[in-house]
Amino acid sequence: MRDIHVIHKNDKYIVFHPQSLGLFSVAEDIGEKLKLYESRSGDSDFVVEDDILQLIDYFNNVGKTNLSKELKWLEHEPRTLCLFVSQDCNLRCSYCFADHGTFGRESRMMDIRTAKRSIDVILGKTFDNFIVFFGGEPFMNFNLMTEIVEYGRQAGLKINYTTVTNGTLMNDDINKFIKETLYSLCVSLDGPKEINDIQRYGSIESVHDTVIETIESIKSIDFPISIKCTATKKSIHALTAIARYFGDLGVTSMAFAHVSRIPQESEFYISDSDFEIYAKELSSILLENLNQLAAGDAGTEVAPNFGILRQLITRTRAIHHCSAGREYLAVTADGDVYPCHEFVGMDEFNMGNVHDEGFPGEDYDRIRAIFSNHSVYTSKGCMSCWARFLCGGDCAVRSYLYNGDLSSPTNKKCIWAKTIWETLLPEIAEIFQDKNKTNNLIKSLDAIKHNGMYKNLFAE
Amino acid sequence: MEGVVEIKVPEIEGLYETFAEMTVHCVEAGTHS
Repeated sequence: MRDIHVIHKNDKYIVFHPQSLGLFSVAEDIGEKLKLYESRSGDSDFVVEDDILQLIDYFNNVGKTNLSKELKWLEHEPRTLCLFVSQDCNLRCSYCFADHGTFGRESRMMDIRTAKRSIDVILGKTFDNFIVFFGGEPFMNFNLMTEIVEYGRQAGLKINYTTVTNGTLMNDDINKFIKETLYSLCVSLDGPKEINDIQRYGSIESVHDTVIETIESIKSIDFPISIKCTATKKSIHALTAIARYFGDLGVTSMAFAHVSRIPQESEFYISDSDFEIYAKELSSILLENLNQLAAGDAGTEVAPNFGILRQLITRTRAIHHCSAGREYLAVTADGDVYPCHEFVGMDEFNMGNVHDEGFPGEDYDRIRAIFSNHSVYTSKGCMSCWARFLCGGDCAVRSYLYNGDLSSPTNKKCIWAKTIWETLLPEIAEIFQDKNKTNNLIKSLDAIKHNGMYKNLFAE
Repeated sequence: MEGVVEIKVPEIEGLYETFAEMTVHCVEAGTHS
């Protein structure tokens, strides 16, 4: 296998070695030879010169001494529950994949009986657990959230709580709950008013203005807040301006997701060619943020920069896109269990109901096994890709919906991963060759861990 | 090797443990860090 990747940028040649997640800076003549080797070594008429073979041996030998390890979420028993506390929402956003939480059925709320049963039969007693309050809009069922926290406390379980909200239903009680109970808060906002309010709306006059008030109130209680921005056809050209707008709001972190699971006819749909624009915009945002971090400014992290740096520094291979179906499970308001929140409503992935007498039963074990067994090692689209251990493959639900199986990556994910990594790796290599920038970066990562989104998880 | 420089990565104590402390790493779930 041609297990190197050469990136030529700004007259510099960087070699990435996937097996060790190692980076090398090489001279121009070597870079050009390796590029040729990378692109042609599978051809029957291509003769590999001895000096190239020596170089490959060198990379492999250095790689062996810096061997990377795998991030094996499958080693964990389930410990993160995504609870659909509310399968209803007060907004009617244009691109919602979940039909405002209903997944095409009637609106409904989880009750405490289902929540307790979910905790009892799924979460472990001997390790830290996580609960993501999900919807719909979770705060439409705020009382249940408080009851769940009280139940977890009485049961003696160590549970870390978080939620993702549209940020339009806040009040003093909710702010108090956030401050005292959650470890982080994610609020959806798609940009300035003229962008956000054409795709996120409801019966309130301006979702944007309401969310801005929420962000200010959360900041005033000194609590880490992240923004989740859904990029659509209407916003991809303005992403850099949107990122700067979020940065000016003083949030702790921001993350971008592209709209998916909407019809191609939708005015918000992002085609593959438009997606290249999105990936380039996102890459330049991440690059700017990376340089801020290397300048010692850890004010706002753009995800996944922290994760990218953590992966390279700790030499940790991602072999799955995420922990869905293994460490992470979703439970609907009715108690149906799915591998993640995006599989809800797909009968073939229903793992059973927490109220079933025999739960967890055969379907649960069978589906967990499926999710445990697929990885970049088994995916034909990933197993020979240079970026496989950096990206971990595609989101299982998107692979399933667009390619018919859980592990075939979509074209969009491959564009996303390769564009971002090819942009960031040369810059990261340059930072690591500069002592001051490296020291600044170390301080920034430490600040993110202790003052950023991890603040309440690592509080002493 | 001549013409090749290995890029050394810094060692940061306690960085790996943030993998274990986080959950699903999903933007849609709001757990993207």
